[in-house]
Amino acid sequence: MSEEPQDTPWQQRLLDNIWLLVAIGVVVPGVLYLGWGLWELAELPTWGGG
Amino acid sequence: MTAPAAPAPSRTCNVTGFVVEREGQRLALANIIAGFVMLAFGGFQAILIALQRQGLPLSDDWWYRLVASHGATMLLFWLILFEVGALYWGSTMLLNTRMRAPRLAWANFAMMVVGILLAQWAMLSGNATVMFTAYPPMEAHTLYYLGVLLFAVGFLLACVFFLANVIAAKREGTYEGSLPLVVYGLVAAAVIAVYSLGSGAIAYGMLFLQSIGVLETVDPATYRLFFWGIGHGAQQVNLAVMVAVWYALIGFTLGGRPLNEGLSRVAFLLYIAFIHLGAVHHLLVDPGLGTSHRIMNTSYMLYLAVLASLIHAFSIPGAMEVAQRERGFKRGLFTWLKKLPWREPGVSALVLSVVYFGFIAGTSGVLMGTMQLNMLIHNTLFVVGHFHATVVSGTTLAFMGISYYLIPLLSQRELANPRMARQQPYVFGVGVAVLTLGMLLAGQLGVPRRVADLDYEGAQVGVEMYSAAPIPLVMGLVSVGAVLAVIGGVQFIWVMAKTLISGQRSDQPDAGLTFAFAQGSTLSPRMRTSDEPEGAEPSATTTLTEDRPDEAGGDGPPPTEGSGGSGHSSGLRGRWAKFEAPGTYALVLVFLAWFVVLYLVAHVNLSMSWPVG
Repeated sequence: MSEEPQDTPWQQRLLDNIWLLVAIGVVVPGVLYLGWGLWELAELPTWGGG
Repeated sequence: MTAPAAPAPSRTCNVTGFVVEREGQRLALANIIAGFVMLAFGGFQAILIALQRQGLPLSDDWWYRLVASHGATMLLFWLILFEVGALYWGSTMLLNTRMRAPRLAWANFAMMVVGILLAQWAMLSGNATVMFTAYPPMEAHTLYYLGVLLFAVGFLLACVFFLANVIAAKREGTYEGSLPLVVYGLVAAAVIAVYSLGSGAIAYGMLFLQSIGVLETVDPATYRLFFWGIGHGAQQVNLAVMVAVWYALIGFTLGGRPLNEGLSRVAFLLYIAFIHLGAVHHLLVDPGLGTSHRIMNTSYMLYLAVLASLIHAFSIPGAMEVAQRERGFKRGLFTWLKKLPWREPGVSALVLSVVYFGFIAGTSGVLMGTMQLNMLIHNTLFVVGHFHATVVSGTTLAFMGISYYLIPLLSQRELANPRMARQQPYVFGVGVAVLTLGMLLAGQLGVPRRVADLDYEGAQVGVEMYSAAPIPLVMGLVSVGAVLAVIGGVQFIWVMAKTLISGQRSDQPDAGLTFAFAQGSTLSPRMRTSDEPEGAEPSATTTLTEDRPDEAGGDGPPPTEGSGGSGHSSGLRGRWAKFEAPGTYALVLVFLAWFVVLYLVAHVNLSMSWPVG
C-alpha cells in the first residue's frame, strides 16, 4: 500500500478521500432533497392513502 | 511510478505511454461501441420525430412511442454506456492498473444490454408510452420497469467496479500523488451516480412492484420525488463526466494543465454535495412540497453547484489559454484563441461544447431553476430546448470529440476519414445550435412539449394559436436544426464504424490527429507538496507528435520541446499583465454580461405575463 507523503497538505488528503466523497454525495442530497421532501409529503393529509 | 502488483496481459500505448491492460481495454471499447449503436438508433428516431412536424406521415400513436423511446435511448442508454466505457478507461489506463473483476463486468454489460432490449421492446410495441418520466398513475408493461431497473443496477455496479479499481490502484501505488484531474472528475461522476441510481431504483422498483401486484398503489408525489433523483441526477452524472472529458481533451490536444488544480477539485466536490439539489426545479410547480423546500434547494443551495460550473467555465478556457501562451502564442488578448488548432476535432468539439453548455444550456437551466421564471416556461418546448442544449450540444458533442482519440487508441486502428472527422463537430454543432435555439424560442412563445398534434385536430374546441406566425417558422427552424444535427451524427457514426471495422491496424494510431500529451497535464497524476512553490512548472513536457506547421507559424516562436514556455507570464503589459489568463478573464466578463441580459429579458417577460399593480 502506498504511503501518503508527509508533506501532502491536509486539504489535498481530504479531497483525495473517496469514502468521504461518497459520504458527502449521499448524505447532503439525502437530507436536503429527499429527507426534507419526504417529511413535507408526510405532512399532507392524503399521503399514503390516509 | 511502479508497476501493477498483479500484472495482467497488457501493452504500452506508443502514443500516450499509458499501460493498457487488455481486459479493461476490451470492456471500455465494448461499452462505448454499444453506446454508439444507441446513438445511431436515437438519431434515427430523432429525424422521424422532427419531420413529423413538417408533414411526415407518422401516426400520433407512433410519434408517442418514438418520443418515449428516443428519450430513454439518448438520455439513458447512449450516454450511460459511453460513461461506463469512460469509467473503465479512466480507472485502468490512466492509473496504470488492471480491471478488477472483469468477468463480473462482462456479465454486468450483458445484463445492461438485456435491460435495454426489454425496455425498447416495451416502448416500441406500444406497451410503455409513459414517456421518460413514467409518472403514475400511468402504467407500463412490467418488462419496461424491469428493463430500466436492470440497466440502472448495471450502471450502479459499473460505478462500484470503477471505484474498486481506483481504490486498489491507490493501495498498490500504481500512480504517484493525487488522482489525475480527469479521473477525479470521473470519481465525482461515480459518486453522484451512486445516489442517483439508488433513488432511481426505489422509484422504478415501486412501479415494478405495483405492476406485478405486490403494491396496490404508488403515491404519485412520492414517486416524483424519488424519480427526479435519477431523472435529473443522471444528467448530473453526464455533467461531471462531460467536464472530465473537457479536461481530458485539453490534455490530449494541447497538453494543457489546470490553472489551479486544487480549485478544480473543490469544484467537483461542490458538484458531489449540491448538484443533486437542482432536481427540485422539476418539482417547482408540484403542490405536495412546501415553498421552503423548493426555494431553499433551487435558489440557494443549487447556486453552490452553479459556482462549481463557473469555476470550470473559467478553468477550462484558462487552461487552453495558458497552454497556447506557453506554445508561443502570446500576442494580445485573443491570439491564443485565434491560433487554436481549429481543424483538430477534439479542439473544435471542446470549444463548441463549452460555449453551448455555458451560454445556452447552463444559463437556461439557472433561469428554469428560478421559481417565478419557471412558471413562464414549464411544460413548454423551452424545457426540451434546455435539455437538448445540455445533453446534445454539450455532453454528446464532448463525447464525440474525445471518441476521435479514444477509439483509435483503444482499437489500435488508424482513424478512418480524418477529413470528415474535422468537419463533423462543426456540422453537428451548427445543427444542434439551430435546434436548441428554435426549441427555446418556441417555448417562449408557449408551444407545449410532448404534444404530437399542435392543432389538436378532431378536438371539440379547435386550437389555432400554434398555427399563427411566427410559430410555424420557429418550428421549421427546429426541424432544420434536427436535420443538420442528424447529418453530423451520421458523419460521426460513419467515421467511428469505418475506423472500427476497416481502419488500418497500427501500434501508433495517431495519423490525422495531434496528441500533445504532457507530464503534469490534466491526464497525469499531479501532486503539489507544501514545499513546492505555487505556480511551479511541471517537471517535464513531452510532445509526442510534432505540431503542424500551420499551427506554429504566424505568431511567436514555435513551441520548443521541453521548454515549458514562459511560465505563467501572459506576455502582456499593463493592467492585463497581472492575469495568468487575461483573454479568458475578458471572455468570462462577456459571459457575465450575457447572464445579466438573459435575466433581464426573462423578468421583463414575466412582468408582461403577470403585470404588477
